[in-house]
Amino acid sequence: MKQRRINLFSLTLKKFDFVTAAKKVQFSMIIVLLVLLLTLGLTAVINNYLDQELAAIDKSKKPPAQYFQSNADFDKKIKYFIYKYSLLKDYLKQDAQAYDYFLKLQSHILKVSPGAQIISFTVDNVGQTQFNVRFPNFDEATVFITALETPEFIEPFEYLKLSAFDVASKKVTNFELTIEGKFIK
Amino acid sequence: MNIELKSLKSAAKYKVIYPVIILIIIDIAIIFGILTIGNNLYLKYLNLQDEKDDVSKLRSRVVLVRNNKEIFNGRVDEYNNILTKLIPDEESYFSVISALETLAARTGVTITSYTINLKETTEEKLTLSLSISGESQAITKLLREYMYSSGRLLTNDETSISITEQGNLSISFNFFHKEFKDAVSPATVITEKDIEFINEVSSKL
Repeated sequence: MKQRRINLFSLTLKKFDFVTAAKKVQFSMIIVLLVLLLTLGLTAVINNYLDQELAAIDKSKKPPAQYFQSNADFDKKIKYFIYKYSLLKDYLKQDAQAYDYFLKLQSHILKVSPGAQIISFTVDNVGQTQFNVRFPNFDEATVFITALETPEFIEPFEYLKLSAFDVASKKVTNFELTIEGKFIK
Repeated sequence: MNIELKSLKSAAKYKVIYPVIILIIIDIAIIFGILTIGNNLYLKYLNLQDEKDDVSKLRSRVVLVRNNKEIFNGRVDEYNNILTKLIPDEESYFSVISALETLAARTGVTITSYTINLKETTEEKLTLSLSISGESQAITKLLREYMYSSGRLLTNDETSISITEQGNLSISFNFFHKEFKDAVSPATVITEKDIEFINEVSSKL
């Protein structure tokens, strides 16, 4: 018995209506073409808009550019000023400002203990300080020690630490305190 | 293969396929065209944005220059000279000696010796350790006025004052110098406060 074969490709071609399909594709292509032409038109409009904007920007750039050009020398001087002035400000931050801190400390101590005398004073550019205070008698020294812990006295400092209390150095009547701390900058 | 060729040959018999092929080619060509133009438009748009930014920056710089002109009131050269005196572009031995002499003359102290502190000295900072003698008033004046009294900017990193050793003081001073580099942000605003500060410094020189 002879086996029957089916040619699927020829069968499809026979049944497939090329004319109708081609016309459908043609129609779709025309639609696509129209859309593309519209897009092309839109790009032309956008291009025109961008050109106009660029021209306007270019026009508006001229007056400030001219002003700037005519003041270039002044601008350079300003830059020099800013550069050196910034250096000045930065370098000043490195200063210990010892005199100001000494006066501040002196008035601060004298408020609490009028008889106290600052014997030595050290301060660095971060405000770290150490000072020795001498008192004429024991009572004034104890009053000062009590005052050291009050918020009013601590106010200009980040912290204060009593590092030494010398009762019997040199003369019995002299009482010296060594205090360490840090000023609030 | 033969079957496919045959099929195509038969398909070619239908003339309607030629306009379709032409349309497809035209569409593809336009798509490529649009992509190219689109890319160019995008670049143009970026260029426009850059230009807008430039104009905006230029305008704000013009405003700054105008404002600065008003604030400086024609005294920019004077202020720059003050700043150059305080922080010269280069360090010189004679400038340092002159500054120390001026400092001593103005405050009334005597500078008995000075040495260069190599440990603290840097590319833009010369640190000198000084031994100073003088009356307590003169030393107090020195401590109060050293920053500008010499005609140069002087700073001191750490000060030790010993009241029991009145008449003598050991102190370090920093002398600064730095060459101008044109790398300043143009957006920096100078205020009346800055001018007041410079005038105050000028009065102390």
